[in-house]
Amino acid sequence: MTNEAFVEIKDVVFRRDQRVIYDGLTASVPRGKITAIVGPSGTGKTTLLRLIGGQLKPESGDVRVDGLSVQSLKRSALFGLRKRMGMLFQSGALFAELSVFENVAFPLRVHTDLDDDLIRLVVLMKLEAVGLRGAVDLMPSELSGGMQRRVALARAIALDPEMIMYDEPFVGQDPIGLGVLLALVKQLNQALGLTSLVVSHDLQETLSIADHVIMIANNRVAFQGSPEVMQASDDPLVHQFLHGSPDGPVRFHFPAPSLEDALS
Amino acid sequence: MYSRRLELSVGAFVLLGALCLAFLALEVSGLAQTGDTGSYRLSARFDNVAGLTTRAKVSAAGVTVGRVVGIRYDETTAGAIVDMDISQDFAQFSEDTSASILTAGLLGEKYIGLMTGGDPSNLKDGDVIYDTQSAIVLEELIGKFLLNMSSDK
Amino acid sequence: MMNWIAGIGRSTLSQLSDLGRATLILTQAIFGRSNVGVHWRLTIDQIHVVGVLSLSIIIVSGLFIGMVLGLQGYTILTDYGSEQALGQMVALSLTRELGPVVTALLFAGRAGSALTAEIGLMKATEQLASLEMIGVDPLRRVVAPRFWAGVISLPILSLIFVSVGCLGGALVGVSWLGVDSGSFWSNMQASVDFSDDVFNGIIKSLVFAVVVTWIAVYQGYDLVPTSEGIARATTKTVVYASLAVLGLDFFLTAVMFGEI
Repeated sequence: MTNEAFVEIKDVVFRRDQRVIYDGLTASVPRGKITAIVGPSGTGKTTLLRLIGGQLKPESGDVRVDGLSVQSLKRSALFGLRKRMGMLFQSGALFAELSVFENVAFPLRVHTDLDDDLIRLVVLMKLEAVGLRGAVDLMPSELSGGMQRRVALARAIALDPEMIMYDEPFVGQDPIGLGVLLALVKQLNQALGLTSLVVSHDLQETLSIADHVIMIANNRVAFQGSPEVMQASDDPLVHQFLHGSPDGPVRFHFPAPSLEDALS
Repeated sequence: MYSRRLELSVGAFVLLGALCLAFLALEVSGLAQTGDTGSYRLSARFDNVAGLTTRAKVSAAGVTVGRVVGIRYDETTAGAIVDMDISQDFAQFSEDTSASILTAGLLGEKYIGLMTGGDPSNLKDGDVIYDTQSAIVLEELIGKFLLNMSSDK
Repeated sequence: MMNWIAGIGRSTLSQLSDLGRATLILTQAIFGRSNVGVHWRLTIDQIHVVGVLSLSIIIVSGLFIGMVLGLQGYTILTDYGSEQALGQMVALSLTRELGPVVTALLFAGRAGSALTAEIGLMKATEQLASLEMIGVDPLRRVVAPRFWAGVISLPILSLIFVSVGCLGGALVGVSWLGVDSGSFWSNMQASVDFSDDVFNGIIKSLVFAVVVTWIAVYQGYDLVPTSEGIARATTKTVVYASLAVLGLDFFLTAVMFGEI
């Protein structure tokens, strides 16, 4: 059962204010692997994570997480499902008024009846895993951006979720910070058997750790498969994206009437 | 993680609010004066109560002894009946007490003045005072004055 | 002409949908099942932020407004030779009108805008989304405690404002301008009625508290999560809340004191 899909997305249509984001998107995320979601910016990669987390609902189609249809779950069932997912937001999204310790302890305090000693133990373990046990008493504002993300990662894994979603974890990182985060994503996946979902447009770095790639472009899935297959693909869209050509199937020009028409 | 200082400050804040409520009740609206001792009801019949309102004070010899609580029209006598709550502290009004509607200053508000008489028995709850002097209506007074002036000539 | 009518229709519809969303947010925040123990602590935290920290501005404003009332009232009342009615004038204007209204306006500017900005910033930095993903409803965790704190704090602040104002009026009238202290207070006590004036004032400020805090948390929760969006929502909070307070004040005054 190692190849069974943890998340299955079928024929999803999603619009935001008339603008079509997805038009019949179908993809699956294998259990226990690192799946990278890549694609040109503005194609709604983050939106996909929000659909999976149930924060947005598709217009039609089906999003299933571990067999549960997310968009038709009741509020309480949805909140129950979310306990099994962790999400790392782009900005880290640490609670500014709580210390590092309280941030990581937060999901434990809300969802478990553990006593204070046990919570302390778990929090220190999680912080040790991201290498920030020494920062336990600092406030989020005293940390660098990369360290904030690592604390947020510790918070996301506090409840030992089955899946963790990373929203642009590598943006704005110096090479060292980026290396640390890459190693962490890989380590956590292997050590905890997590299903990992990484949204990023740092293509080469992401592909270096991914087992599976989903590329989104033009409102649908443009490619799905292993990184090796992707590198070898001769699909013009994939080719353009991998090599960063300015023009190709993804247009350089934003859709518009022709220049002659606009000027006459 | 919740500091004791924060709890203390919120507690002090709420306490300060309660204190202010007490101040407003006792010092500003004088709730204690009428609220504590209980009162009894007297009524008085006037020919005219022009300008008198409910909550107007009732005084005897300049001391506030109660308040007007109701004014209604009496069809049988074609006059006005004024109900007053008099504080239990002032229960010594004789049966021949007279009531008059007075004005505080020239333009001030109307109030009722009680003048106790010599009768040995006192007024009780529910009694009616018939010996009354009505409100002075300024327009009538001026009218009379003008009439007198013209008839003198 | 048709465009103009369509414009009215469009803006009416968008206002209505705003109102609908705001109502939904409020009811979800208030009536959702929640962990009372935890939320009580959070509410106490917020009372500290919106109530205790607004104390200084309320006390200073109350004192000065009371003193100005004392001064102005004295100059007008001496013309009619009735300075002894000064206490009555100061106390009645404060308990019935100035106390609830000015406190609510100051509260909208001091605490309301801060609430909007804080919730807005939490939205912009994805803290609200992150709460949702942890499985905690931000409406109950973030919005509800702030709402209750506002509703509890504003009437208390208003009581403090009125009390300090009366003392300020007494300070100017009695200690400075020489109105007899006995007649100042006795006139005040004779004319101010607890249930008609003080209590109605408290009801007014309770209504203002609900409206101002509601507007503040809604604007924060519903804003566009950019720095421009936060700035605009903060301004909206102050403007809408102030207008709502003044409009409602007329309405409430008509209902409470209209027949006298």
